[in-house]
Amino acid sequence: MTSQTTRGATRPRGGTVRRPLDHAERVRAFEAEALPHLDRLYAAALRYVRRPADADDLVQEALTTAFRAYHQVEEGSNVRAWLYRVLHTTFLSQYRRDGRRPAEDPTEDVERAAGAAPSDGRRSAPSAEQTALHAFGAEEVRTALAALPDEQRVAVYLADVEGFAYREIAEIMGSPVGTVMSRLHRARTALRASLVGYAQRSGILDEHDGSPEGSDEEGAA
Amino acid sequence: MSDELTGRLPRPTDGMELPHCADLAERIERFLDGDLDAAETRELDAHLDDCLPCTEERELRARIRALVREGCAERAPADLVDRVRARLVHASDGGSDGEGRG
Repeated sequence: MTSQTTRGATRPRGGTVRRPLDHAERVRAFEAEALPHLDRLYAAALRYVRRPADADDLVQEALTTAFRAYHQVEEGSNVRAWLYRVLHTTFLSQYRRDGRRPAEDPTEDVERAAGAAPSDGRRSAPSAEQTALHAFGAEEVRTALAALPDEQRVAVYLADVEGFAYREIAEIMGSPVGTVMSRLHRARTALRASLVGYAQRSGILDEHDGSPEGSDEEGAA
Repeated sequence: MSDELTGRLPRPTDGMELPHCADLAERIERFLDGDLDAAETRELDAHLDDCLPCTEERELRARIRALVREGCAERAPADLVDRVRARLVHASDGGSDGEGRG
C-alpha cells in the first residue's frame, strides 16, 4: 500500500465535484458526516453480531472501509444510508472470511416462489395484547429480536429504529423491495407472537387472549 | 387498481369485525413504515375514525415498533470514537491513488 496522504486529487464525476482535499481534510470531512451516526451504527452492528466486542470490531472495520471509498461519494448523496450499506457488506465479507454464512430464512424462497404475501389472518383482542406490551422492557424485546433470522432482524432494525424506507432497506441489504417487505412482515408477526408468548408465560396475558396472526405457523416463540 | 382499494373502505357493523379489516393490516403496516401516499393515508384515516379494532391494531403495531426502538438504543462504548479516529488517520483514503474501492 502506498502512502500518498498529502495530495488530494479527487476526480470530477459528473455533476457536483468535491474540492480536492488532502488526507487530513478528508478525515475531518468524513468524521463530520459519519461519526454522528456512531451510536446508531453500533446498535445496528449488534443486530448483526450480537457480542459487543464483535460489534465494536464490525463498526471500526466498516467505517475504515467507508473512509477508503469516501472520495467516490458525491456531495448531496445519502451518506447515512450508504454507511449502513457498507456496514452490511462488511458484515457479509467478514462472515465469508470466517467461513460462516448469515442465517437465512428457509421459508423465504418458498414463499416468494408461491408469489403470495403471507396473510395476516385473524386477529384477536388487540387491547389485551396492548396492555401486555406495556409490561415489556428493552431486555424482553432484545431477546425476541435475537430469535429472529438475521435478515429479518436487520430489516426490522433498519425500518423501526432507523426509519429507512423499503427502497432504502432494499439497497442497504442488496435485496428486492418485495423481499424486504416480506421479511418485515414475517419479523413483525414473529415478534408479536414472541412477546405475546412471553406475556402468557409470565401471567400478564391469559392463554385465550393472545393468539396473534400466524403464531402457530411461524413457530418463532 | 381495483375500486375496492381506491374507493370506500369497508365500515364495521354491530361489533362484528368484517373480514376486510384483516386486509387492512398490510395498509396499517405500510402507514407505520411511512409508505402510504396522501390518498391512501386519507382512506385509512377515514376507516380508522370508525373502526375501533383497526385503531387498536394500529396502536398495537406502533407499540411494538416503539419497543424495538427502546430495545435497540445501545450507545457505542465511549472510547470507540477514538479508536475509529485513530484508524482513519492511518487509513489510505483512495483519494490520491485512483480507485480505492474497499
